[in-house]
Amino acid sequence: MRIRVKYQKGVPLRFTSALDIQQIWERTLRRSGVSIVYSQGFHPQPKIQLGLPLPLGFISDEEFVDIWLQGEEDINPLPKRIALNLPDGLTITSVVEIDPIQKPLVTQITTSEYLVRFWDEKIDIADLNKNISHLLEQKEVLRKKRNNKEYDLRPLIFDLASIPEDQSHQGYLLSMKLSSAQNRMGRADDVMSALGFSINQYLVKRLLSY
Amino acid sequence: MIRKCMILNIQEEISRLIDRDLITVQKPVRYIGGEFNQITEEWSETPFRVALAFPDIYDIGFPNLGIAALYNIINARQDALAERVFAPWFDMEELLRSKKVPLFSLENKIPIGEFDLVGFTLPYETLYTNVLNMLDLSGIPLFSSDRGEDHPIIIAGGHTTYNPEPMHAFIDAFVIGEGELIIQEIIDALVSVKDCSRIEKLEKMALISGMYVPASGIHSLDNFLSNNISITKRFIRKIDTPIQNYLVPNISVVHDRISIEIMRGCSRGCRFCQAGMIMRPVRELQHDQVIDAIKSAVTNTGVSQISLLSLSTSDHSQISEILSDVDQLSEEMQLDFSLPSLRIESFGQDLMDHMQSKRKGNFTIAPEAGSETRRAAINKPIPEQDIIDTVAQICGMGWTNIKLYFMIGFPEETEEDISSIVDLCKEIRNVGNKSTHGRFKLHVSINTLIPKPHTPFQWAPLETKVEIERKYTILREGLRPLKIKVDYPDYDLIRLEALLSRADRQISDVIHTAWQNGAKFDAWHEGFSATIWDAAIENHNLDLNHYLYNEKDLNQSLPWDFIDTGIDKSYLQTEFLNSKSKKLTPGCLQRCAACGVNRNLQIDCSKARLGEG
Repeated sequence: MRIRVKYQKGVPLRFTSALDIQQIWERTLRRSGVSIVYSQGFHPQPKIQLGLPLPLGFISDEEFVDIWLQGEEDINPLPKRIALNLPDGLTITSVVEIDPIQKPLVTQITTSEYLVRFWDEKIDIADLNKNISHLLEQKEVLRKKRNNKEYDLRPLIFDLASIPEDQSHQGYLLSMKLSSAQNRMGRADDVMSALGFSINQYLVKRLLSY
Repeated sequence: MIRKCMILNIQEEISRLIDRDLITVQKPVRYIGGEFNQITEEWSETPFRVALAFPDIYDIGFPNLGIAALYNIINARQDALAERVFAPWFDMEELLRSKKVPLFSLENKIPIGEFDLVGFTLPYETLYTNVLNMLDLSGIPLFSSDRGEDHPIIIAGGHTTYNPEPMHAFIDAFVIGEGELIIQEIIDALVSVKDCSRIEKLEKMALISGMYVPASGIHSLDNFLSNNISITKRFIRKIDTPIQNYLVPNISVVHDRISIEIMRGCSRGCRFCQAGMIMRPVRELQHDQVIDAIKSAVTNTGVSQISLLSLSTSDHSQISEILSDVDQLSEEMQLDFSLPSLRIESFGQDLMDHMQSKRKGNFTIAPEAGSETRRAAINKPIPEQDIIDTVAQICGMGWTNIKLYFMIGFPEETEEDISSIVDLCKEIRNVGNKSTHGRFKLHVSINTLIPKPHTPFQWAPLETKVEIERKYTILREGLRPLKIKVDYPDYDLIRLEALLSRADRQISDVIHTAWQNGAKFDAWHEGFSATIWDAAIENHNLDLNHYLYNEKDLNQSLPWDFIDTGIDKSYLQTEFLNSKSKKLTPGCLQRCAACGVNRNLQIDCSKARLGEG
């Protein structure tokens, strides 16, 4: 049986990488007494499939992981059972059963929405908006990938705007809609660096993907 | 009130640093804790606070069993809490210093200087400069004599403190021996004098058996030496069911498995082995306790990689029962077991059967010396044929990777001894190649004997660089045609470890000077600098011949003589002489060698072994 867990990743785990999150799920399920399917051989691997990778340092309101279970489990009590065994920083939103032969989630997703909060409240909004317009007017925005290969970020940005934090606050947030298609991943921190911000000035939250 | 405000201010700066800047360092998770099973007590409501400090990075210190045990023991108390702190890596140190933020604990993120007690775990000597660095990053004066009423008490324990003198200037009080019981006594004592002066606290600690308190001259070494006073190590008569509440890391660490200590101490009596001497008597965890411990650890952590830890796993009296259950558990619960420290001398058919079902990773054999004569001299008498037969058998089962451990630099070692290492490697390579149809991979590690305190070799000299390099050359030339991987450690680092482990109190100043000039992370290539240490040694006119290169007189007094491990000095002397005459001493299980532990520690070794101590 294959289940799809929807969860949030919070600040306590923002520095834990996708690979480590996979192991956290394996261990969480073992603690919960839920048996996962393992691959055959001398070095069995648990059958766990993470959704879109979330860059180090980001938090998220909506992440997915697919897990193949041995035998049939009653789905209703599962979220509660698993929640008791989660480390700080992961929160379960829902668990559903899905078709075991359905394609991986990552292949079905094209777009993600992000919200960026600045650590420093005193952001010059006029400056910021000018930078945003300038960036959006560009035909091409070259950034470097981790492997130092250049790529054009511009077509991966679907939407980018500043929004007031709320009525009572003076502050502003940034909202982004970026490509999440495989091999066409728009990175929110690349957008931020293109706007002239360094990595220690903001916190990115992924809101949802579709 | 002002102090409280200041602390709040610092706390704000710490969380600011974590929020904003931590993303700029490698593996930020090292500094924020939050692992499953972490215990975070209410800071303001807990009267006595202990920082458990490990002076290497998180990745190395996290799996340390001593810290895990103390963490559980202290946090189980109503009146005390324990939080962890590790040495920050270079990038994090730079960040802390540039932002003027003090070193803080993983749990409540509290500056280390705010704790009542800071306990350093010191398993190896090359951590010493990191202790100084961590104190400095915490704003705590490095020298014990410079600390005032507002500073924490600094204690240290672990294998290196069996020679406490090299660190005497920096550590207020040393724990000699095993920590499980004495930590309770230390906290009881300090809680009872919480509002008293620093000196009263130190005096109170000096009354606890197993504590050495050099601070303020409370324990005077001169007095100890002239009146023949010694500090006897503490030990527990029976090893407990291990920690239930293992922490589960949020990132992969060096040894990412649950370690269950199934036996403490070793009955073999290898003459170079410090752990084998200082951890006597042997105490086993009983078969059913081992299995219960595995099951509960897996349930509480979800970790499926288990390591059964001891100095010599195959010597456990119930090893075949344990293994048969372990094999069953592996299958039922999909667990992956590892058994380090197997000894081919006690490798029975049970063990072979168990190995059959294992994933074929690396198989390690430690002949230590190449020739049977030299193995007799170090009291590790493994017949050459046994080594070769084991390789053939193991390779026959499907293993292709064998790792061999050798040591050189033994007293009276000859060129033949060195070439016999080459010969043995050749023989093993041939046998391995034949049994694996050419897929055989041999990895050889060459270490140098560091004649450690409290071992029969404590009187032996460290071999000189010229000699060791000459032997490296013989090995290189001999082993080159074999096309195998060979590790030759850096002699300068070995010399440093030897010096730090064998010196007296004069070396404190050398450690300080080296740290001032940038020495830290001496166990790391990224940190160790021979130039810095050479300069510090020269600066203080240290006579290396005295500390390292002269054979010591059997009757001369040694800096660590006042530490009593339970073993008679006369036994060590006899063993040193036996080594020269290549006379074997049977292990404790065969015949009591009268090392004195039973008499001095008032324990029946054979009962203690079976958990009836």
